[in-house]
Amino acid sequence: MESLPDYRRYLDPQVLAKISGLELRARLVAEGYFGGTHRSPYRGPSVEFADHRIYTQGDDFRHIDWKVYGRTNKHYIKQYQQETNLICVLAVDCSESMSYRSKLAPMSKHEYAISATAALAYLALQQSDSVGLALFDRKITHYLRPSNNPTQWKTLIQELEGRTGPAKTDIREVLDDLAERLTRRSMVVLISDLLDEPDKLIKGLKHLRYRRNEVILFHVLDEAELTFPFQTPTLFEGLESSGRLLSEPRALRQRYLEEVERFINKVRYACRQQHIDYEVFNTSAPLDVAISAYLATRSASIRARTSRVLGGS
Amino acid sequence: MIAVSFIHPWIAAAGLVAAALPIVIHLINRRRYRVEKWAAMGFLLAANQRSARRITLQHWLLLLLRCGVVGLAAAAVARPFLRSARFAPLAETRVHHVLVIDNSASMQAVDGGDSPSTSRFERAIATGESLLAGFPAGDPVSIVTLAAPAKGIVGYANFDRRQVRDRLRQISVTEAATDLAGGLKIAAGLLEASPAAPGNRAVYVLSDLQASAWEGEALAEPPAETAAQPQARQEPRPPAMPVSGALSATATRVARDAKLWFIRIGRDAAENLAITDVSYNASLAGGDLPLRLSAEVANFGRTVIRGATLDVIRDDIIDRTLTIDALGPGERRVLQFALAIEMPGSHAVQVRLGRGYHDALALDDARSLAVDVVQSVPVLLVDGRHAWGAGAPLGGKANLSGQAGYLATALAPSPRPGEKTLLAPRVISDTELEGEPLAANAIIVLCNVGQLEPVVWSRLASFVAHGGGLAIFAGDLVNRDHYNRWAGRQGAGLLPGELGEPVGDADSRAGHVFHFSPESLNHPLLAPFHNATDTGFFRTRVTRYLPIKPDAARATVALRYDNGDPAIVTGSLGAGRLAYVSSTANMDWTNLPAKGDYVAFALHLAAWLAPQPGAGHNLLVGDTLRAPLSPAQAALPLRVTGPSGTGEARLVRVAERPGAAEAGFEMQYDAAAKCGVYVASIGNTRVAAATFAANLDPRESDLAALDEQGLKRRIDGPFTLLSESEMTADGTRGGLRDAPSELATLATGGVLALLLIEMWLAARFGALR
Repeated sequence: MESLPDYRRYLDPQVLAKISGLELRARLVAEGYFGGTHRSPYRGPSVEFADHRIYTQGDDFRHIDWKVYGRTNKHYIKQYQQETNLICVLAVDCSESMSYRSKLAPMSKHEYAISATAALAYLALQQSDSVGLALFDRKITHYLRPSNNPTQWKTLIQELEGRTGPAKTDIREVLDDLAERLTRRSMVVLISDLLDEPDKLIKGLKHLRYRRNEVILFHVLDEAELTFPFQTPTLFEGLESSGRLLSEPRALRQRYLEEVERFINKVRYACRQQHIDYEVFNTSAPLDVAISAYLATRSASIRARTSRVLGGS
Repeated sequence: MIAVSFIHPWIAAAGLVAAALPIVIHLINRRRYRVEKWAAMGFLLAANQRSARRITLQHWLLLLLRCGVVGLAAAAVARPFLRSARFAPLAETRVHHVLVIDNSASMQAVDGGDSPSTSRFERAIATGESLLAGFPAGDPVSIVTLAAPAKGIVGYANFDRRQVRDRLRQISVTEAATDLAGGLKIAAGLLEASPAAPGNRAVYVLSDLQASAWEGEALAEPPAETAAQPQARQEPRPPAMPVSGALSATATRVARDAKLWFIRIGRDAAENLAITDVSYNASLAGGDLPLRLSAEVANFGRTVIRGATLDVIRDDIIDRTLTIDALGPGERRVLQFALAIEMPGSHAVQVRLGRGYHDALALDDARSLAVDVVQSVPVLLVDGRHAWGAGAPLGGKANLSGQAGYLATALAPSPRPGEKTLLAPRVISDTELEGEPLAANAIIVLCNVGQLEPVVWSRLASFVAHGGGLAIFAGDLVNRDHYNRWAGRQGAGLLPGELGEPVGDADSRAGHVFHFSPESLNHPLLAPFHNATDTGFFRTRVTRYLPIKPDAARATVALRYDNGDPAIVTGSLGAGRLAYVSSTANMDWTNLPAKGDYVAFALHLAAWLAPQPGAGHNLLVGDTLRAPLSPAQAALPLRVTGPSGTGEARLVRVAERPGAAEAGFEMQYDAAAKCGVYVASIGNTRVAAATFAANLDPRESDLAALDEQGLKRRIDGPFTLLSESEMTADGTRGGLRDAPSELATLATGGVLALLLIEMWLAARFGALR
């Protein structure tokens, strides 16, 4: 526990941005998370008791519950809840708009997104979940099939590093494509700035949900995009060739923030309807805090759901 | 058509340029922007689309307001006004009134008729007060007085009416001359700094408008006369400058800058007999010589004056009474008389019209003259040829050997024992001069002196600079180069030119003979020979002379030879006079001493060189009285007693005079404000150190006033002439009825309103963002 402050120090995006290796960066984030939740990843996966069943030939003796045998004189086998049956697909936006980085932000949205992706992948692989990766802009450019092979993480890191293209985002097509590719029920983590039409996004998300995938949406935005702090007259040159505008930012600020809020509210509302977890990530906020805060609420809600299911059976 | 004009048009023009400043700032700001790569362009474009029109509108509104604020502020400073009285309720129509009150001596005149007991000045003040009462409250007023030197009694635009009225009542009449030019100049200065618009200024000259105040001003020819005279057509006067002279120019300027009113106080038909001058006829006064004086009497009235008497008062005693049988209108008469004053010292002579006579102006009925009477005038004759007899008592033929002897005999022709002569010559040799106290003498004559020590030359220069007279006669002993070096312009400055090679031969049979030229003879030194060409003086034979090249800046040629060379050259140094005679005073080079005119010549030379009796002591009222003081006298208290009492005089250390050994002291007294005799005393003694006479400027005696035509010929601008009786405050006010209306306050209010609106809008638009 003494090492905790050190970890925290490295988890600040300002510091993280200085660490060039994505692998190291992700491990710092993830292990910091474990430190924060008091769960050591080195203790091994835990096994939770689920049920008893009658011993049949060929079962391992180790699992016979001798206490039950003492009471009933019959051999029962303990059954355990298997946890590592999760397939997690991390879909990362690599379009040009993700390369934006304001003066306020320590790293670009893309860097923030891949750091988060790598950290999540590490966490998942540590729990023996299968992790897949989809990089996209207009369409899915790279796709790594889900696997829980320990080498998967290395492969994934190599794929992630240094990928932003000049292309625009077409999120509808990407999500449709992804829905078609996933043959088994999966957890899709979509990390993007969502700079596309919201209706297309919502339709794509619906498609994913229709295939009974669980969807988590991480909306990555720059501090400047959220607060619009510009004072002096500025010529805004749109990335993804979305035009240019010379304006007096102070005059536009109010309307701009209204537009952003309207968009976020619309997406949030659609996500709630679809039982999609939606979270806005500010690239200036510490990555581990963002992830751990999210994971803490999520694990709490999952536990609640699981216990409700178990309690009912 | 409503035309707005500006008092300071160039400020308005600058304001127009400055009004574009906000636009320029806006354009500069537009050019200065930063470039930002931006991802969330969709939101931005949407926001811009929604608010672009509103923002543009706000920008234009603010820009317009800011331009308006700058422009209107500049306009307010430039002081706009409307040339129409219809808008008077919108704006203020303040009129700056400048009262020019004549308090010169002539305003003491009392006109006969309806109001016999009030002087012109009292009526001028009363008129001024009624004018003041007629001015609307809140109008600024200034007051200028005309008695020399003219003063701005209220020398700024004064809004405090009570204070102005008090100041007006405090003005007193003086005995000084009229300084109309100075007064109008002050008025013009006041108008220049006036807070009122150009059309809102009025100048009222309350004066007797004496024509004599305009003396020396060139007149504009009346157009009809100009056309009639053929020679005038040959030299046409440029029409743009019909009048000339400082007073006319100032009056014209005032007439163009403001509404000019002349309010004439007094009647035309004022009787006035005045003594305009009392002076000496001869320069030498003292001893047995009676003082020859002349008095000038002038009749400025319109009737013939008969049987007027003049009292001549010497030291408060009526010495004699002169009678003038008849003096016509505009006529002047000079009366000559002699006074014997035995007592040496400072005396005052007063000439006064007889007790029974009364006229409009009493002030000019008497006039004073200060006279310094001396016991004798010591003349020091320095002879260069003094083989024998120099310094010996005068008398007998023995003296006639040298030049000094001839001169001494001529200056004191009958030196019988017990008989006093005014001129007291004493002959010494040039070697004795070094140890001689010079200050005791009035005149020093160098006769055929070869050369002198430089220190003696500088002592001589100091002597002349302090008022002494020096004559230099040529001769065979004179060392030309020595004189040029030590007495010339580079040296002591006692020689009014540069000596050249001697001309002619002393032996009249061997060479040419020169005569004095009677042409262009006007020097006072030779006053008896003016217009007397047949006298023996012009038949004088000069066989040899030492010519002088006169110094153009310092010298005057009094007499020339018939070949054109200067014979006598005069000059001055400090307070004293110099004369150089190029020939001899004895028979060596000329036969002049053999002529009867030699005595007259010698006496007039001495008279001209001698310090003037009462010189600088006869002044006009208001002049500064000055008298030189010795260092010992300077330490004592100085008092001057005059007609208005006793006052302290000022001690002034005057700068070193050229050639003087040390800086001198001078007594100065400025408070000679009344006509009469002033006696300066030094220390606690009652003995007069100097007597001064301060007299009225003779121009003040002429009460004739200018009429409208006369003024028009002198002032090239609009003015109105009113007589005392025509004048009412309403009358003068009528001329200003169409006064322009100033809008500065309105404009300032507008600036404030615009500023408030701008601030409110800027805050509101800012809040919307």
